Amino acid sequence: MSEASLSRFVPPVFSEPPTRKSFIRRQPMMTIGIATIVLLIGFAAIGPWFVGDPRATFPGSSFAPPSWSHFFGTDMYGRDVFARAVNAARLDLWLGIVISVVATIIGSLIGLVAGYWGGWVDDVVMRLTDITLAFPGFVLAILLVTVLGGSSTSVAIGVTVSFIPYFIRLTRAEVLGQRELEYVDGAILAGNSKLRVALRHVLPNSLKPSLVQATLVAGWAITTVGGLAFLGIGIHPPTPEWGVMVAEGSNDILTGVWWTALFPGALIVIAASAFQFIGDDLGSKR
Amino acid sequence: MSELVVEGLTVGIRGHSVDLLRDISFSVASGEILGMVGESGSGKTMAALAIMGLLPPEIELRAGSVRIDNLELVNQATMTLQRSAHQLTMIFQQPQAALNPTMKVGNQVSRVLQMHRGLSRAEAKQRAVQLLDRVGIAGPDRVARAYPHQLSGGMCQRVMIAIALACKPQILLADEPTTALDVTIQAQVFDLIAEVAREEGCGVILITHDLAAVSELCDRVAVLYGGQLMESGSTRKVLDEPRHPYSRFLLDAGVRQVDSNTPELGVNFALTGCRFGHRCSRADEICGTFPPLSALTADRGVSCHHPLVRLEEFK
Repeated sequence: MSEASLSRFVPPVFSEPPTRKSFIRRQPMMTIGIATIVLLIGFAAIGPWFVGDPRATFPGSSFAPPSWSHFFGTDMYGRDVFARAVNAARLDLWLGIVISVVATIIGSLIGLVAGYWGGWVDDVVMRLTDITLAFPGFVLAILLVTVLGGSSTSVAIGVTVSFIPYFIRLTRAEVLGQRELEYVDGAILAGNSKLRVALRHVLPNSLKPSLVQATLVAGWAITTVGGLAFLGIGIHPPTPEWGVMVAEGSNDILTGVWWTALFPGALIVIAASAFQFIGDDLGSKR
Repeated sequence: MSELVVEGLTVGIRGHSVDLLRDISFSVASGEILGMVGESGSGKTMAALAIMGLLPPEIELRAGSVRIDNLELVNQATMTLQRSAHQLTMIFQQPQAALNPTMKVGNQVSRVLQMHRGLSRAEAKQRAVQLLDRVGIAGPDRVARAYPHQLSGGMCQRVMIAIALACKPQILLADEPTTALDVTIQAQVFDLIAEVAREEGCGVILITHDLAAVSELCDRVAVLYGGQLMESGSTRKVLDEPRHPYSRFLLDAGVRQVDSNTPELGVNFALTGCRFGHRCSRADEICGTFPPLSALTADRGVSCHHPLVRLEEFK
């Protein structure tokens, strides 16, 4: 092949990558969300080594109000609420992220199959999805966790399954649009196998709504896990878990002991909203 | 010397009797450029999709034969078309839509090279940059790392041509490759396609509205209207001495507003007759039957019951 060609373009000037400052200014909510999540994950990752045993009881020092020795006070068994909250952060954030990642992967793949292959596969998958979506997610999660039994694994499975239908829907809708575009025909023409076209070309272009949804679901998963534990389903006391702690502490509020329920409850709100902030900004931009 | 021969290509919507393409035949030799012209809706793109085996599911191939070097691509039992990228490949109308937006363009080229030339990943990468250079992209190593949205339409079309070249096709089909491009880029892309055809020795089917480009680039022309092949022959002959009333009509359309004084005949041309019948001033009852493509000379055919014959009618 010859080197020469008839005409040449002026090379394009690619725009500079955005600076850190401009990112914060353009997306303040996302910045707050990411900072909060990073902070919480940091706490969850290294915190448990610095605080005491979350299950150690000290009957003599029950219901101690927040102080320098007990940041979040102690509960009715004299357990340090801060130590429990930090250990719970590890479990709750881990569950939230794992649930959303697994639900995204499974849901997107099923949605891809339904949208790209179509036909009866699509019909079967979408009717099953419709049936699943007919249950409110929380009710479905209660049902599944009750059937699977009470452990954090069964909670993870139950909540994941109840979120999967959303990802199936989102990905399928996007795949239906993407598969009609010319680059898909181009990929087929170039000799790619159907599986390869689906995974390498259609899937990456259909993931955006699911990825936005994934950050929201991470937040919802934390509230769902906490909610289930509050109702006594799934994760049980004395496991340090935010929902469990709120449930245990809720009885104390009447007697003026606000710290046992407030701190874990606030952490649920903070973690869930942080994910929500990220998701909102991701969804609205571009 | 490879040659694409299309014979009696007929395409229709499932469950409907009307044919979208009716009995279309043409051929392209290697190194030759065939221009396919006709107004919007004349079936140019449909013909391209049929030859590529990319017809949408609700549209069926009813009859016809597509051969490359006497190798039949149409399975006559199932009426499906099997082709490989070595035989036939295509350049699309919207270059930016025809590239995967989430993949770097260099990878899109090198992936094809890996698949069709059996190159290793590193070799393919290097070769992809050479190909981008070959299609006239300046700074090819930088462009290879760019995503399609960072490139202009003209550059994307060049990348598409590079991808097509990576397949080393025998026949290249270009479906209105310049329609989405700026006029200043159109000539460059046309020239590039012609240059590629000449140097790689592949046959090109160029689908376009641009009659000026056809007269410059194409060796032969096929005129389509309403899914019917009206006239085919060497570019010079067809453009200078059109024998079909529609070819005349199409050539005039660029110059002046043509009004056809069509006689009222009460014939349903679409089903059985000449597709141009309802707009043709020469139409009569016999045009209610389909005019077969009759050969005038070895490579000149016209599908008309009343072709133009006298020299003064050509003007």
